[in-house]
This record gives sequence, C-alpha cells and structure tokens, in this order.
Amino acid sequence: MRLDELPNDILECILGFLDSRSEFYTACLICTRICRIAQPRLYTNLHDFQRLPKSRRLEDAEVRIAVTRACRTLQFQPHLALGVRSLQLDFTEKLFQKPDRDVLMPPYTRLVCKLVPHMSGLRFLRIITSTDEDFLNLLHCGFRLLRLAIEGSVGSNGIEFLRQQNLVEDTELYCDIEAPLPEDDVLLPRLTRFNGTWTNAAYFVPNRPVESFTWSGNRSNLETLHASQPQCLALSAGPIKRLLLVSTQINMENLRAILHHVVDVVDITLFVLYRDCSEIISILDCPETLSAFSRLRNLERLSLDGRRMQQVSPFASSKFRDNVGQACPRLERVAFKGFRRGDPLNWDKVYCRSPGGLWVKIASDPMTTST
Amino acid sequence: MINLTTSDNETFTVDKKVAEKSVLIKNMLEDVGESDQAIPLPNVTASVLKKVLEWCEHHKDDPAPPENEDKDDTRKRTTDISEWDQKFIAVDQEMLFEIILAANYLDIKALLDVGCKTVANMIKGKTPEEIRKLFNIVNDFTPEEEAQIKKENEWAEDR
Repeated sequence: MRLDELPNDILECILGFLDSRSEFYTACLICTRICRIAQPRLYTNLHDFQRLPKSRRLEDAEVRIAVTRACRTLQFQPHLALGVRSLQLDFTEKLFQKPDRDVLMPPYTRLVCKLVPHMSGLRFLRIITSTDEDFLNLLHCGFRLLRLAIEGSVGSNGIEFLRQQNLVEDTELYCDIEAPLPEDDVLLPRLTRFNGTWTNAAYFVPNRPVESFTWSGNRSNLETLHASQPQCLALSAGPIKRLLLVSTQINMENLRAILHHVVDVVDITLFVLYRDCSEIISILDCPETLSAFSRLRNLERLSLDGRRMQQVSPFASSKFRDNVGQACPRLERVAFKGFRRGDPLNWDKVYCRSPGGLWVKIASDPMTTST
Repeated sequence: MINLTTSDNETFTVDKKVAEKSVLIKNMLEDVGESDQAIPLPNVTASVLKKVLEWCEHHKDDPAPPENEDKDDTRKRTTDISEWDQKFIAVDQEMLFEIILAANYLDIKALLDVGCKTVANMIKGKTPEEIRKLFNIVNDFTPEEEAQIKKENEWAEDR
C-alpha cells in the first residue's frame, strides 16, 4: 500500500491537516492523483476569516495579490471556483492599482465579480464596499453564506443582498447604513452580531443593543434627524453608554434633541473640528442645554475636543464646567482639549471633581490618549 | 466481553467498552443486541486489529468527540499528536496506512486523525521530489502537465 493508493476520502483527510498554501502547492506537484485532491483545497479558503484582523489595509495587500493571481486560474478552471468557501471582495481596489510583477492583471474586483456567480460553495464572505451599487454584483449569485462581514456602505442594494442571504448568525457589519431598515423586517432579529457604527442617525438600526454610538452628522443627517426620526437614538434596545458626536453642525436645537435620547449615557465626547469653540461653549452653557444635561443622571465624563479650543476664554470654560457640574451630580471629569498632539496651539484643560465637590485641574489626564 | 473475527480468521475477545470506541461496532451491537456470536471484520487483518485494539484500550476513557466537528473548514486544524499516540503510531508505512484504513472502516475518528496527522506531518516541509521518494510515489506528470500545474498555482508558492 502506498500513499497515492489510499482512497480519496482518506487522502482528503490527510491533506486537511496541511495548513499553508505552500504546503498545498507542494502536494499538487506530487502526482496527478494527489494533485486532483489537493488543488481544489488550495482554492477553498481564499480569505482566512480567522486570521485577518479588522484593520485590513496593509495586512491584506499580500492576500489581495495572492487572490488576484488565484482568480486568474479560476477563470480557466471553473470547477475550482465551485469549491471556494471563503473570499474577500474588495471594491475599494483603487488603492491597489499596481499590476502584478510579470503580468498585466485585470482589475481585481472585475475579475472576482465575474467569478463570484460560479462560487456556489461560498460560505464566508468579507465585502469592503465603496458604494451601495457594489452589491448589484452579488444579488444574483447562487451561494448561501454562513458568515458575512461588511465594511463600508449598505444601501437598498446591500439590504436586498442581506435579505437574500437570510443569515442566521455571525454577521458582522462595520458600515454606514444608508437605507432605512424597516422595523418589521424579519432580517434584523436574525442578525446576532451587529458590530456597527451608525454614522447616519436617521437610519440607526432600531431595537438592537448599542452601547456606543458615533454620530458624524453632516447637514443632511441632522435634517433627517429632525424631520423623520428624532427618536432614533432611543430605539436602541439597551441604553447607550458612550456617545461620540463628530459634528461641525451642532446647534442648540439638535444637541438638545440628541441628549434627550441618551438618558443613560456615561461618557460624552463632542468633537468639533473647525467651529469657533467659544460659540460651541455658548451653545452648551445656556439654560436650555444645561436643562437637557441635568436629565443625564449617569453622566460621568464630558470632553470637548476641537482644533480651535484656544478660542474659549478661561472664564467661559470654568463657568461652563461649574454649571454642567451642578446640573449633573455624577459628573466627575470635564475636559477641554486642543486638537493635536504637539500642536503649539494645544490647549488642554482637564478637571476632576474632588470629594469636596471642587474642580481640580490635573496636569496629565490618565483618561485620554491624545496627550 | 465481545468477540471480533478478522479477515484472516483470528478471533479477539475484548471488553465491550474498548470495542465500542469503533462506531461501526457500537452500531452493530445496538442493531443486533447482546449475542455470543463473533462480529466479523472482513476488512481488517489480525495484526492490524491488534494495534487498533491497543489504541482503543489506551483511549477507552477518553470523552466522546463533539459531533459535526468538521462543519467549518476554515477552522484551523492542529497537527499536535500526544506523546503516547506518537509512540503508538511509530510503525512502518505499510502498517501506518493499514491502521488508517482500519480506523476509517471501523469508524474510529480520533485514531483516523492520529494516522492522517502523522502522514501530513511527514509531508510538511518537504519538496515534491522528497515526498515522492519518502512514499515511493511515481511522478506521473508529463513535463507539460507539471509546468501547467506550476503556472496555475504559483501564487501559492512559498517565496
């Protein structure tokens, strides 16, 4: 009995214990029989879900080169495409324009999109989108995914894709939801793992537990926030504990509306890039806003972060600190922070409340990473 | 105790718990109930069954493996083999393959894995030529076929 005489299922089992691509490549070159079994396995996991980190840009460059070259073979060997189980589909390929060393490669995405309809065995997919139209490439594919990760924009086409896939577990979304997700949709209750940052408040996914909410509101978002779903933040199934508002459009009205819906918030950061910060202070330190703050009974930390923080007079910042401290009895830390480390205009004032109730300026702030 | 008869007509009397490490035997016992008749194992010789039973005896108290373990192909599979199993499986290639075939026939997943991991570990880190030599395999590729396979899969080559 020789190795190459073992039945196929046993050879499959043996090759299943090889783990690197180069080992499968070597196995392909042993003899024709082992090659027939090893080669499909070489193309099974074109993207390794377990090993790739979320921060993908640099790490994935190598993967993308390999996948591009692999897809060139799949073009001419459709039976191998049938066996692909995991894949990364990156529609942001502009970052990856260098042709392969020796061959002028067709663009990665176009090539993969051509092949994806043949990948009926695909079960694990990571999609990096640049626009919702990217999902049009996937709407008529025959695969049924077990796990999906999306980074980027999900609009009506993306929602349709999610609906088609009807995933029951392990879906990860790191995306901007750009289309309304109906509350009565059967899709949403089935998705058990939403790791999302909803940057568009109007399309915030209702009835999901979201502890941390980031809102980089632009003008239209703010308008929709007011016009259509002012209660969107309150639709989180659990209390929102951390709120990061990245906005140049904050005004007295919309800030109050937002605070109204995060009554359990513990930590608020208001990140204003180019606004006149003395104007921001005047919005914050007015009776209406302070009244909204007074309803945040659990608020412990408040940070104002802005490039032009030096425009705030020491008197104004101290006054706001005292007023908001009075409104929020559990508030223990207030920070007014300049924007950039090493910036000559850096302007950091961090105050902690002493047991006696007095605010004490601290030299270095252990709570922050930007100093 | 139950009796097992091999292809070369040798009968082994073994503890039921040991024999039931084999899913095949376990199912047969469940189907036919208690019986004094020996269970025929026409695909296993006495020398191989002796080795297999030695493994089953050592592992008789191991917990049952979880079902549907292999659902997720992307799961990283370990090639670690326990020290006892390494010594057990340190046999000539002929016997190694016979144990693997017997484990497959008798449906003893853990023993099958030990055998397959051992072969996989023998393959790892070697060139195709070294593997052919080790396992006495004939290179049946034509030069054109070999070049084609290299070209198709060169993306996976370790550089």
